[in-house]
Amino acid sequence: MEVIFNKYYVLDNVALLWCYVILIILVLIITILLVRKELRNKK
Amino acid sequence: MFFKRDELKLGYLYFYVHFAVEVVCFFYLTRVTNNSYIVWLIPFIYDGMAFVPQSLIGYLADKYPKLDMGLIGVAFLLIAYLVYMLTSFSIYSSLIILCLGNAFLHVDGAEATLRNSDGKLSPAAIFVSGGSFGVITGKLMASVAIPNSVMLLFIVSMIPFILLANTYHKKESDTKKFNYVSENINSELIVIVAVFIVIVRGYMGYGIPTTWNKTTIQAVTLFFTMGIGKMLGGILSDFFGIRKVAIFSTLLAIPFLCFGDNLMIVSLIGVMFFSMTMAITLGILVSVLKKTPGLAFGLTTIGLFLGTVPIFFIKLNMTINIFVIVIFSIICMLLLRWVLKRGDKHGSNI
Repeated sequence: MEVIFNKYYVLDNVALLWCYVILIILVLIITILLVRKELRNKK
Repeated sequence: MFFKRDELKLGYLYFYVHFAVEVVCFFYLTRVTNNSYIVWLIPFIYDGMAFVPQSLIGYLADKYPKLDMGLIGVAFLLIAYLVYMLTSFSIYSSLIILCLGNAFLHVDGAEATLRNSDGKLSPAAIFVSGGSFGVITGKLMASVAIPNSVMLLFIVSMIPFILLANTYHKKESDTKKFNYVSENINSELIVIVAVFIVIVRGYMGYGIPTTWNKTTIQAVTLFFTMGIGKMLGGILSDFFGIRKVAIFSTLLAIPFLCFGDNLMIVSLIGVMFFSMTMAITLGILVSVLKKTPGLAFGLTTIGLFLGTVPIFFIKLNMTINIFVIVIFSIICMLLLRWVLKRGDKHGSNI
């Protein structure tokens, strides 16, 4: 029982970690686009 | 009198707000990681969720200046603590709400101190330095028998400071007075250079060798020195010029950081010098993103996050670590020398 419990916890953490990584990458891409837009507006 | 200037008053008010935010967040982190099987994962998620969204929140604050980001941040922190203390939800729910509160309050402080600074770095540097004092205070408070509910008082105590700071806001933003970079360099390149320097500083903040740091008093001294360094970076830049301070602080930090592994005083001098670049990189970014200081501040926090990522995955041995510190410090010094405008001294009238 304990093994299954731990396994689910590990799976939960891995899935969470992937969601987190994808979210961070998305925010980084949006930030780069916003910076480029602002710099272009400046010119 | 320099320290009584109106623009510095916002720096002092947000110094406390930043201090309180970090106390609340690091109290939570220390309590949670002490009781958890995922000691590694929680600080990693915290770093990402608190630092990275600041660019988007900052952009939102730039476009909608009437939104009170400070009070929204306080509300998030309150909800995070109530969820943590009163519900049985997963720890990640309160963690993510706490991170958002942290991000909103950071953006609010940065916007206020940059927009009302008369083109100087001191107000933002004073605001930023408050965090170092808060981090160690939060960690220490969590290690003694203080109930979690005490943090609610800290959260509520930020409200009068934010409301008082709102009364000092000017109608016209001062960010157009930030002109620290050479005009003949491509703006995109300047942004990349500034973020690179922040990444290096982020790495060094965790990666510098401090074997001497074993007792509580030594940890307190280390964080206080970091705070003083960040503050001095802005104040000295206003007095002597950003270019001089940037070059000297980056160069002078190298020997102290390399040979201070076992010697506390030597190491602390190095930490203080290298912390000075914080305000300088912020000044560089605001100089190219004058209309969006919130976004500029968010870029520095993204850089800090990217700099700390390797710490979670790689552990370098002492020799390679010192080699990395020396090489990257020299590269940063050369980049700062290239990017920063010659003879620029905003504080010449101080």
